[in-house]
Amino acid sequence: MNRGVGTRGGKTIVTTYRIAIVGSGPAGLSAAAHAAKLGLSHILLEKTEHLSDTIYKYQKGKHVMATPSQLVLRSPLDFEAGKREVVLGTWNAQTAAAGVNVKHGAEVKSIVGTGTPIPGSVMPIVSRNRDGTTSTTELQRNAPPYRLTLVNGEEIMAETVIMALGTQGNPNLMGCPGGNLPHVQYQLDDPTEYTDEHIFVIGGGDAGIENALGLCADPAQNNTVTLINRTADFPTAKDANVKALMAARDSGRISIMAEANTTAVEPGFISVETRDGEVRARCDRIIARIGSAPPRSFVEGCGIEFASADRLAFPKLSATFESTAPGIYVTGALAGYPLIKHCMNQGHDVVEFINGNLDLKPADEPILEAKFAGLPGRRSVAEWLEYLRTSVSILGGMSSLQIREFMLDSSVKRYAQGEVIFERSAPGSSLFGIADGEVAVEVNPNDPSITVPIGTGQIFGEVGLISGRRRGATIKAARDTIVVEISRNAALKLMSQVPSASREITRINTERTLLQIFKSGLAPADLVDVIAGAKVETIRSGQAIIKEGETGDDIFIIRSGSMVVEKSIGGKPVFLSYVPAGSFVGEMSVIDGSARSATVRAAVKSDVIRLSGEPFRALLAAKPQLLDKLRGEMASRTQLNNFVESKKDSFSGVVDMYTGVANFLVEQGLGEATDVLLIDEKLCVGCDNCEKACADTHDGLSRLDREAGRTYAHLHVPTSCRHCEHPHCMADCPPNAIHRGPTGEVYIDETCIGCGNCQRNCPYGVIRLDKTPPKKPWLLSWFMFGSGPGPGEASHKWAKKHDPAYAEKAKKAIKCDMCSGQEGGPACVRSCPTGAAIRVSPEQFLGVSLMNREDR
Amino acid sequence: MASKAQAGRAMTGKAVTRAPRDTAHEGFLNHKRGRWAKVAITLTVVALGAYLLTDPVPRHNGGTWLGYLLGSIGAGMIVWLSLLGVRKRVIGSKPFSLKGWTSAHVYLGLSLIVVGTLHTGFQLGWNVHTLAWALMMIVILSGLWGISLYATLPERLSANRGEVTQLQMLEAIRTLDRQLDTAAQPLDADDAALVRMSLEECRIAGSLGQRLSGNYTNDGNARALATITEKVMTGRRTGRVDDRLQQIEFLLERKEAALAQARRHIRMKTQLELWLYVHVPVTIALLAALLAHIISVFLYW
Amino acid sequence: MSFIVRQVAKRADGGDIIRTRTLVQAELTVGRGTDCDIQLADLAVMLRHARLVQITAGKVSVETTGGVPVEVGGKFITRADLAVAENPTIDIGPFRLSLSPGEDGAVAITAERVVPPIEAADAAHETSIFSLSGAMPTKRRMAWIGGLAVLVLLLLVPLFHFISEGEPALPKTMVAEAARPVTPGQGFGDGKLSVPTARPAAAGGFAPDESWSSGTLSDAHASLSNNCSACHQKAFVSVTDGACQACHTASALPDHASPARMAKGRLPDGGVMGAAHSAFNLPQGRCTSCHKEHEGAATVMTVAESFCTDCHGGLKSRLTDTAVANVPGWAKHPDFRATLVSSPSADKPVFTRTALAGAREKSGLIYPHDIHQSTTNAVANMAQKQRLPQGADGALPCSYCHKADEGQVRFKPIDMEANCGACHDLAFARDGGTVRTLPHGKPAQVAGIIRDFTLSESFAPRAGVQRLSFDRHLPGKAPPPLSGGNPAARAQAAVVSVFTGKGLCTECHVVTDTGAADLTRRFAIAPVSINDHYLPQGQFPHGKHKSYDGKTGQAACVACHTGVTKSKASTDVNIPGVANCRECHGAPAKTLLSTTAKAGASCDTCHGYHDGVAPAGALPAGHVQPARVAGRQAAGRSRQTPA
Repeated sequence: MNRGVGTRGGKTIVTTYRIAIVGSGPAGLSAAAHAAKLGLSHILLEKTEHLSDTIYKYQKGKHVMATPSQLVLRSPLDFEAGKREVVLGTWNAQTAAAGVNVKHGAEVKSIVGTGTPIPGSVMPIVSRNRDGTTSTTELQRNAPPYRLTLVNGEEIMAETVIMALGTQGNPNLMGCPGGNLPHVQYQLDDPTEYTDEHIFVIGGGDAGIENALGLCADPAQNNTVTLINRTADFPTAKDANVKALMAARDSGRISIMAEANTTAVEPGFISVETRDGEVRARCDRIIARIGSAPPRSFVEGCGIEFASADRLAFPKLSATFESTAPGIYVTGALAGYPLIKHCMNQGHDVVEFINGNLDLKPADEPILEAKFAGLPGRRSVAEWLEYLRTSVSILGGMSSLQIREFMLDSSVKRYAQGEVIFERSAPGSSLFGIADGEVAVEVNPNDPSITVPIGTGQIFGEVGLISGRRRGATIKAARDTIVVEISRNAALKLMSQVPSASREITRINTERTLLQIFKSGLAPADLVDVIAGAKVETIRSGQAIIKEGETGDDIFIIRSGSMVVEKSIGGKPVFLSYVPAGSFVGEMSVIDGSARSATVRAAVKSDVIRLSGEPFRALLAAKPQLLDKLRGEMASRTQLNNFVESKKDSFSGVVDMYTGVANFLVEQGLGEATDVLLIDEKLCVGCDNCEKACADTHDGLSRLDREAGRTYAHLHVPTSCRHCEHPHCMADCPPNAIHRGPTGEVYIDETCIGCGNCQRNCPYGVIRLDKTPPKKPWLLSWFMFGSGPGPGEASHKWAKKHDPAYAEKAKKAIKCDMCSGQEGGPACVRSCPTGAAIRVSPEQFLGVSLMNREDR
Repeated sequence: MASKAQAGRAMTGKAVTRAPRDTAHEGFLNHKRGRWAKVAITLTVVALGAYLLTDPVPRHNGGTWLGYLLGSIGAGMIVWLSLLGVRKRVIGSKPFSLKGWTSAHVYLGLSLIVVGTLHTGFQLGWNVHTLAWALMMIVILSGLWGISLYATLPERLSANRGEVTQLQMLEAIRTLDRQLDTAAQPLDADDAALVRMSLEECRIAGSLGQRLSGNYTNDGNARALATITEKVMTGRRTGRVDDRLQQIEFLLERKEAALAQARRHIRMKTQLELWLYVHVPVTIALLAALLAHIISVFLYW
Repeated sequence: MSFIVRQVAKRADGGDIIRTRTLVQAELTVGRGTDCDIQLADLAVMLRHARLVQITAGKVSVETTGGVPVEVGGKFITRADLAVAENPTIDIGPFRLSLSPGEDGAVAITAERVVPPIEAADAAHETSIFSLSGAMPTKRRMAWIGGLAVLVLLLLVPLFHFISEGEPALPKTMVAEAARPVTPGQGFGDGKLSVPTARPAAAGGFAPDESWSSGTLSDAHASLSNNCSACHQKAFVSVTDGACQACHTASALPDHASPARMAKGRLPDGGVMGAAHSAFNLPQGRCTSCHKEHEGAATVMTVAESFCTDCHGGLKSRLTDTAVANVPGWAKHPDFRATLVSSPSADKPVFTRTALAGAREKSGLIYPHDIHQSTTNAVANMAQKQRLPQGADGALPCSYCHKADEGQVRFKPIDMEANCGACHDLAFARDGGTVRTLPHGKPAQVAGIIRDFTLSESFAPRAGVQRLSFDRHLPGKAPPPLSGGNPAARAQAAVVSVFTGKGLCTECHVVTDTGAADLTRRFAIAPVSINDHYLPQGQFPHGKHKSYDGKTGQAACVACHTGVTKSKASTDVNIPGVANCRECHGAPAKTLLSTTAKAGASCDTCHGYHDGVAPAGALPAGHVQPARVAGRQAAGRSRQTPA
């Protein structure tokens, strides 16, 4: 029952709640429950007819994880890992028991302060239009209480608002007439519930395709499914999905209308505008998956400011989660906390804050205390955070809440004088900030005595962060030093949230990269002019930065990604070499002023630093030893060219093959790989011993599919992790469970919650979700009596039969971990009886050695 | 185990050197530039030399000192070689190269021809001892057969497979089946019967003989296709072309093509496997015979 | 008059999709065709398969229209009337129509697929068809079968046989054969105990443990081929001497020497071999050390020369008191030491072994070989006159006196009457037609005969009785008249002349006048012992040497026995030395590397092994049994009688 709002004659009378909670996700629920417990007047607004929609939409029986385990749960609601149904059941029961005042079907349209305008609190809102232009409007913030207007026109007054919307946002609606008819829906929970219908799915994204395939998967349902796509092909969809779609179309299970737009929807019919005129077709149901608008614009509309224009940016929040709009608090995923436990704690905390309990310590306090334990100068957590924020330059721009949250996936360590912080060619993508003290960089691998100092407040390790390559130099503590190590994810978040930090890091990176490449005794001072003209550019995969024959004297330093060098010989482009990140191209022209001798194009999306030739020539003039160094480089490259050309004359077939293979491998993502599994199908007898070995050394699950994957000239790139320099899978991992191991492998630790983001993000489809099967009987008993499934991955059927708990087990993401921790190296390679399988890094393989393979 | 791995994985700044691995791109026959070939040749030459340069009384056989020596070496080798099957499946985490094992297996196995035969001193008869020798020879010869297949087939296998996986091959056929089924719905009884023949009496792999010969002419689909084509032809001649039949014919042809690819694949896989069906069981029999041989020799000394 | 049609479709993931329609009509068509009221999409169904007609309330008739019957209650029918109340079912192809009364008189029909479509079936064995596992018995099974078959048939069964077998029954004939001492006529020198053909296997047929035999048994032992435990008595123990001696008794095959001395004399084996032997409990000197079985039909005798020289090479150093010289090998074989008559005697002559060089023999006989070998002298003439055999050179051939024995190895003893009598005929008078001769080897008789003859002549002389002269030079010439007055004196003179006079006894014998009163006891003849083999250990087969580098007969003999033609006295020893043998004999082409192509000869060509223990020092009179030569010579020796 809802005490506040009653409609009388279309006019609404409004009483003011203490707290209005928008969204009934973990955060919102927990907040509401706590408010109810404290007896605060509150209302929980949920736009759907059920609580916590996001989890509600998980597929049936999905196992919900409760990480981080060390975090204590403060919420009045219980929560532990278990089936979706159980979790929701508990919450529903407990919310009811707590007497939470829930209002379903209440979607908030706007939140406006009804108090006096707050002086000086005007917020610019930048909105991006379809055509790419941006328009800025200004918003004057008013003091609480706030008026919350619902879509259905109802209004609710509240002194404080807790925004617990999550990031799911609202689906984009169909603009065409009839778009609001009941048989138009924007999501598909269970594709199997519809039969004998003519269904149109609108939108060629992954969501649309997956829905469409789901609807036509089972012929028994006898649905006539049509997919409407605005463009001719499906650029935004995953390759696998598109393939499946085409297969379905070829087998006549689905029809596709490409380059088509819905013009009208009427009961039982749909009109579609196609290239060859308008079509009116029978239609019982429309499922529109045309993307969803992030809640940002709405949130901004409420006067809540975001940290930056970046897509990933989060609202600016105080230590009490209060946003720039006074009295509006933001919690949960929207505030940048994807994990359920975090959200629930915040829900609780926020209510506490609102209730005036301001010295409540956040739930993660003990975690942070643990981080700071053992450091000199007994400071409290708060003091430490403040100290770091002030002393490390790039952290300056952070709010206290940000730094707190940021510290959770960073760490502080004290290094005694001379202690090594990291060594040359150790893998590592974390960024370091010096809170106190000084470190020394050994610029010359051969002579550790030559060092460059980096002082308090400065950062280091950014090269590793940006290039994703191994550390370029050993760094020691010059004196006793306190260093904050910022994990890759934290650093990226930092760069997106604090533009100043981002700029700073880029500048330093450019300078250091240069120093590292052209060691020969350069000092930052020498580079000022060069760097002044330096531009960082992002190059699309396949785009050329240097074209053979053109004139131009710019030098390019590859900051991330990699390039391939080609030369056209006899009209055909011939692969010359592979240029990894951290090296440079284009110096030849600078030295001899000649035209470009070869074409350089990006193997993958890369960042390059463009240095204009002029200042560089000056630099060369000043530094003869640098010139010599470059001449050396140049000589070796010329040599390579000549070698390839000579080969070309003698056996051009070999060279074409070599180029073909090289290009193929680059296509297959070797450009961003650090270590890739290749199979020579001239040797592979298909015994699948590699897969078996992989399964037997990894809890009975194979991380490798030998058969799948592309093949060129009998060189097969199976479906197996390439351990990318910038792993796509790391991009969005809620528990942050994906790391790069000490030997450079990218691995998933046991905190995985099985959300499947990594699987979706991996462009090579090498990650899968599965449950660990039960232990297999002793190998000997298989040998002799054939008991058990034998070597390799056991079938699900077997697993189900031999492990009662199997069905309940949670699926987790699994992928190749390069067999790190196994002194024998990759099991797949070890266990190949014919030597067909090899694991190599692109530098190792994409060399001229490749050519010899063809001679053989 | 996972947690243990974690312990080893906490990011220290140390430049951990990756576990050594074999990145040499060479097959098992020229593993380490034919290291094992050299070993085997040496062994053979030494054995031959010893055999020719000594003159035991009354004659060469297992009973002379050379006989006992060769016998022990041979028996040892047989047991070790037969352990490849185990080694292949016990991966563990320790460094080893199965390629190396295979290489050794091949070459030492071949040298057994000489070692084992010299051990007999060509004193063959109808007894357990000669049986052991014969079984050994069968194993080695079947091994040779296998090597020749391993050397030639994989290239063709991958050529035939292209980038299609086995599951995809089956899926393609099943899809065509579905399409055939739908396409056949409006047909009259006997045409439908033909389609059913293709759906129900079509065996992708078939017997061992078919797998090897690749002859599936009397398989359901082939027969159905033949008859349907016939019908369509007559239809054309009489000018009354039934386009539903043509559709069926077209599908049957596609299915035949899909089948052909799958069957070529199966044929080669069969060849790659078949020799093991001789090699492995006979090896076990050999081990048994070896045991009988040794026990009997010392029991009746 | 209506039907409620409920069509049930199975979801891929289990559940059912039920589509219900109500058709207000009295008649339903069922079939595959799209125009049918109940469409059953399966090719087993006819386009228009059947018609259902509601005759009365609660009664429906089914009638096939496609010519293919439908199944009702287990029977195939083309037409039937069904009572809906009984909930009848109609099977059409893989589908089943179940009829039941619906509300207000309608007939409810549930159409459901009861036989799953084919696809589902082969979806089951997915990719497994790409492996052979389906098309063949598994490797594991084949391995088990093969392995067990071998283990059972070739290990367990024989083993069981071996364990269950009691005392082996040896074939009697064999035992007897083996127990019999080696007899003449049985080859020896060539190293073959000749059993011409394989003895038949004993009764009882095939024995399982024959499969363990490493090769065919020797002919001699062939009958043991299905009786392994006859020799292999204890498990893991090499065949013991006991097993051999069960048949080959010590009496038949005596020891080579007393075991103690053997042990002492044997070269201790050391090094790896020694270690191996001791480790596996294979001491030296067992029967099986040199007798290897299962090496083929020919023989079990596999002695190499080295086997003897192992011990004899340095025997003296180990067995200091031995009389046998060290024999490092054939090449260093010491020269022969002939066994010569040192003192002749009628009944116990004494033999002594002496080195050949300058050896003299006292046979007590006077016999110059040279005279008898001449081609011109009186002996030759006499031989011609007597029509005696003639050698190629016209002289008397060796073989006239030296007659080969049966074995063609040695010669028969010399016999006065047979070998000398033709010329030395001992005739003393012609009495009418008969020629009277004196007996050989009976001096007293001779004295008596002559005395009596002379006396009778002097008292009652008869016509036609004529004394003959003993002188061979002038045949037919009457002897000088006997001197002396009275007949007694004349008779005495006659006797004296017989014993001392030329041409008779003194030709070959040494006669001494004892001057005894009794005339018959007055003259004594020195005893004679003729040696019959000089190298008793030697097995020189003369028969095999009839021709010698191109020469034959006489010449062949003389080629080795040089000097016979010039020998003036019987004290000469004309036995060739070992060097002479070596000219032909030596190590034959044995190993790859040796190129010598000589007449084969191992120790046992001349020497025996199982000959019993040798007596030490000078051999006793007649040195009869046991001698360290093969039995037949011993036998021959025993036939010797004092001359």
